[in-house]
Amino acid sequence: MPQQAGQQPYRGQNHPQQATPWAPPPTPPTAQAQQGQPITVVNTMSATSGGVTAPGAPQPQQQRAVPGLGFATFLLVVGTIVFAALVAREWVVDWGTSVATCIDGGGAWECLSNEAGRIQVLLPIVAVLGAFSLARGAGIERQQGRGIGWLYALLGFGLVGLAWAMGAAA
Amino acid sequence: MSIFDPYNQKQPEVHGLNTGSQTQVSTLAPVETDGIRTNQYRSGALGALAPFLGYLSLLLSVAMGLAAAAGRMLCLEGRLDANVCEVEPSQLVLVPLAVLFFGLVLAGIGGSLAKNRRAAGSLVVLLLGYALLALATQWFGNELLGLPFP
Repeated sequence: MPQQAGQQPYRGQNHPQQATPWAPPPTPPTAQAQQGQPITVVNTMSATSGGVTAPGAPQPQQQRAVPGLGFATFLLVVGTIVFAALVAREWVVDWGTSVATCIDGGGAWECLSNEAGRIQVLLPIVAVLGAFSLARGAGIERQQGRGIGWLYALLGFGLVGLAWAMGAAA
Repeated sequence: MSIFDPYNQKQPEVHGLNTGSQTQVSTLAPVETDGIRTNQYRSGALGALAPFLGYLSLLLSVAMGLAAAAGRMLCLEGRLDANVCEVEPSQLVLVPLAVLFFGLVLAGIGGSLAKNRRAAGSLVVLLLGYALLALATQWFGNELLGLPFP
């Protein structure tokens, strides 16, 4: 369809008829008349509003931050690794030797599945895995600037402390 | 909607019928709705429960496999007399593998739903995964081993 220079842009008028509904939309004549000024279209649906960013984008919130939670999460992870490498490893090695001696002494299933094994081997492993998961949860909440991350960090510390206390007592 | 972008995070170009506006609405873009704005934040609790389910399923399947192997060896030595001596060996292998597979898959699905701020779906999937682990542990201990597990 012919584009005439100086034609009014389509404002408040019906768009000209297209050959089929699947034809590309007609470009307003102003776009073609001013070659040096391309029309930019802003997609308002993808613009951030209300502080909601694209999912998975690790952008900290500018509104508020949670002071100290990053260091607490780091401390949780490092403390869990220290607990696993120094304390829990000893217990697992001791349990392994005790199983060997028990089997040699003529024992059967009770050598493997007993209270000491559950408290000193299974509980520390579950506590370490749970502490890592809770540290990840605290990090997610910290990224969004929410204070409930402190709850997850403290739960992680509590879990490791519980495993340490119960294992040392057994 | 495509399997590589199921939530329409990339807004598409408008091909086809020209209605003068976007024809596809992403559920993740903020839409004017009444009431409380739910699912505005990613849940840290779900973000913690999902990898924990994965870790637990790994630990549980390894523990099941080792328990089955140890039980079988004790049976062959004659020190033990329980269900594990008569049970089909294929069951002792397949149950830990099924726990591992379904646990990891459900943990992955729940974690991805949690990252996409779909808290209800993530919660349902994770509860399904934990229930699966609990039932599998109970059944393994009672029926297949016949011994206290773990």
